Amino acid sequence: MLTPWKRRSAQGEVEAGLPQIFPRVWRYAYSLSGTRDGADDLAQAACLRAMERARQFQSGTHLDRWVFRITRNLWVSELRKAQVRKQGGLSVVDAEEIADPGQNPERDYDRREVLQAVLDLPEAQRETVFLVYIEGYSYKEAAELLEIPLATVMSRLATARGRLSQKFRDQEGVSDAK
Amino acid sequence: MQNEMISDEDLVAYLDGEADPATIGRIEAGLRREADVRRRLDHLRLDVEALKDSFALLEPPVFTMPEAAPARGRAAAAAVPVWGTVAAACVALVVGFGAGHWQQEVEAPKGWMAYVAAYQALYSPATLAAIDQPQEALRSELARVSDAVGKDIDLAQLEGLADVTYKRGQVLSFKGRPLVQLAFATPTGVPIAFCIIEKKEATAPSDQIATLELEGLSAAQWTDGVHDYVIIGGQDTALIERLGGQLQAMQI
Repeated sequence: MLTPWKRRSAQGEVEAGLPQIFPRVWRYAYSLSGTRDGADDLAQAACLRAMERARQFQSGTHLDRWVFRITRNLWVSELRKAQVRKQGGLSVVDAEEIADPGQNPERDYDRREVLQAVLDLPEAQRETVFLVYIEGYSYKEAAELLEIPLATVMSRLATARGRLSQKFRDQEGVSDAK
Repeated sequence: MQNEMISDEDLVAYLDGEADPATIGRIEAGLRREADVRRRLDHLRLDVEALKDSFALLEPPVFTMPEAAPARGRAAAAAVPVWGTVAAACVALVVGFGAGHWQQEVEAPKGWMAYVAAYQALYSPATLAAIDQPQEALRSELARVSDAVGKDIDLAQLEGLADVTYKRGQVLSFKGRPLVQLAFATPTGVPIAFCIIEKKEATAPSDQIATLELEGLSAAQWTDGVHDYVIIGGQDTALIERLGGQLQAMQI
């Protein structure tokens, strides 16, 4: 049973932390839903759910992982189907909605190509790539967050890397690859 | 793609700094001895910094703190503007399908066809009504979609089917495997989906078509030994059988 102080502390931590992690939550939501509208809805819903359940957050633990887990659960249990009904598609991703090129159009074009390649991955690979390579979670952390075995994380990444590296190799080589 | 000792998963873990010491030892020994291991490692290399950089293109909206009341139920959440449409859709789903059924289909689909059927059941004539893509867009989309399952599907074949109009192609995902969905509409707007997934393991080809009913929708299913196919939608079994036969004969 949480003490009132701990509940208040958790609530305050969630309220204070959400604005900081919101861009990451939104990008994760984008990687799941594949559209700007979908990301808006999902990220908003996740933040709302986090606020509603703020007292369940364990103060001092990782708020980002907690909210990411909420985001994913919402996506899997509710919004994925809602999006199918609304837009008639699942995991349909398109970089066309990305912001206009900035001051370096060539670089932005390359980045857009890379982003589209990631967005073209199947959903399971896409979210794993996002968590490990974009967010920098370890395999173990990603496995815990996705509630899948470590071996599945490794398998998804191996398949995704094969696809991506082939695509990039076809385009321009891998001089900066590791 | 793997030899006896070193899998692609091992190589990727090595590249990501996640391999354990024993695996690192095996890989480095393999790299010294075998050109194949070096080639595979090179094949799996990726510019991770470029990946990170690319996601910076996605500009999130300005954050607004949601107004949550601790005891508020889900229905009341519809008061929040952006979330409102989503919550309404979720409520509609629960009303339409029942929470138990919904969970069962999402979390424990009985194979890829059950998954396809569950999603197709959500389609209505309005889902595809507004979709009217130019030929070039359809062709480009189809090339990308075909590639996802290792096929080379010709737009003319899809447009040549009688009684339905081809609308669009999408790549979905079933347990991490790409699943292609090609959407059609009948003249009255009934949505029909033709779905293709690569088999995990090749089997003997078969020229048989099985007809069945899934989620109250007519469906026809067949395999060529490499891919599984299903066409599903509406309740006109004769139409589905006819389309299935045409598609199978085309060897798409």
